Amino acid sequence: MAKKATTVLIAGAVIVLMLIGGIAWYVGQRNSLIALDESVNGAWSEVDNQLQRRSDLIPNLVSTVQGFASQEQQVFSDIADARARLAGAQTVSETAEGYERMESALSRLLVVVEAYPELRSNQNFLRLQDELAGTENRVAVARQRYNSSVQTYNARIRMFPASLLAGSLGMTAREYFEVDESVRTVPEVNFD
Amino acid sequence: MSVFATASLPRLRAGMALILLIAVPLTVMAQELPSPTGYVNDFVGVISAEDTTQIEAVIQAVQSATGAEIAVVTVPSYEPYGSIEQFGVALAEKWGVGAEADDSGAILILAMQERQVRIEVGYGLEGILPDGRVGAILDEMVLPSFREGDWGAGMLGGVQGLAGYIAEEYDVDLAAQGARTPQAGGASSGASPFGSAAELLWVLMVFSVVGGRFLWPLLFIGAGRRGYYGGGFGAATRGRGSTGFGSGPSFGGFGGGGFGGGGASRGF
Repeated sequence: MAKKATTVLIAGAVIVLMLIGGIAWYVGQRNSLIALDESVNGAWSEVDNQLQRRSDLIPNLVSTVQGFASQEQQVFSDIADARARLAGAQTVSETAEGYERMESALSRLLVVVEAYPELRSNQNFLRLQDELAGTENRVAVARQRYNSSVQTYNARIRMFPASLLAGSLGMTAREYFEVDESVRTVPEVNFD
Repeated sequence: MSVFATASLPRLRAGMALILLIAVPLTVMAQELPSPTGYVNDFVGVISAEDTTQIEAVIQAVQSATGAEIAVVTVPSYEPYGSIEQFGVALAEKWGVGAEADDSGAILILAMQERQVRIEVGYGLEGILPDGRVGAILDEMVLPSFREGDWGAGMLGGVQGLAGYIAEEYDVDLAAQGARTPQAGGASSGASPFGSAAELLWVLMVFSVVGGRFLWPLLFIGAGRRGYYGGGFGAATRGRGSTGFGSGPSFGGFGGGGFGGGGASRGF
């Protein structure tokens, strides 16, 4: 019965190949999902890093402004509040909320500054303002990159066949860093 | 999309292709961006041949002495991007200005219609060129000429200022090639009442830059960051020769440096 033996052999080989293929597929999918997950983490730490950088600039900015406009207490305490809230943020949405508060407090600070020509022409203040604007821009870039990595990740773990694996790896959809853009616009003021 | 899809796909794994397809709509389409023609990319046509030669000489000197690359760009408008900052970082990433290993690139961008100028600084130069210093270069070496409508002189001043700080950092003497730093300088003098605060600031800046350098690679683990950003451009020019490039037949593209939004902007 040589023919039957051959058939069994072929069937066995096919099963082994399918097993190997299945394992290879599983490992490949799993690794690429983990890589995507890490890329979201990496993008988030860049956002965090840039937010921290901005928080570090604020004491300098505030002390420079206070030197010229010490009576503007409301704005300084708003900034301190926003900074504390950002520092205590645990989740993406809490961070986004702290970020919005900070944006609006800083916008108000820059409006206040308009009333102090001496401050506006102060070299240190100009440099700090540049650092602040640059850091805002870095946050914006990091935020955009984070959101696009989240988009990729979320789409991937919801799509078949990776969706089969994502659950067993404990991967769930990640949160976008969503910000209400209106907080960034500085209100118009008139000092005439 | 078409630009880097054709350029980079052969180098990418299927997974990365997926990332590209999904990520691109979110990051404003890349096909609106011009391709570089050399170190000086005067798409508006406002820099004289003489100024171009001088600017290129300074950039060449910096490049051969330090590996850092500077690009100069004039565009009619930064549309369809929302701001010169968004345009700047998109262009910088697409072109990959600067040495890939240390992300040492900077770009001077002039948007004529909006009357705005920006210097975009690569990751590796953020320590030498913090935003405050870049702002000082713009205020003292670029804007005075721009206000008189002398675009070439303003760009030359900006390049000289960047070159001055880069040369200082890499400890090379490029003064003969025109590198110099602004008079007042970005770094504060001891006479300033806020001297110590500013010094603290520099330290913080350095720390955050260092932090960024370490964290950043995590972002593209397993995905081939260079395939997406800077490297895509280099591969395109090497792979296809110089077809499609206007005035720079010998221009082989930039090194592939990365950018994260550092720099300063001014309206004038």
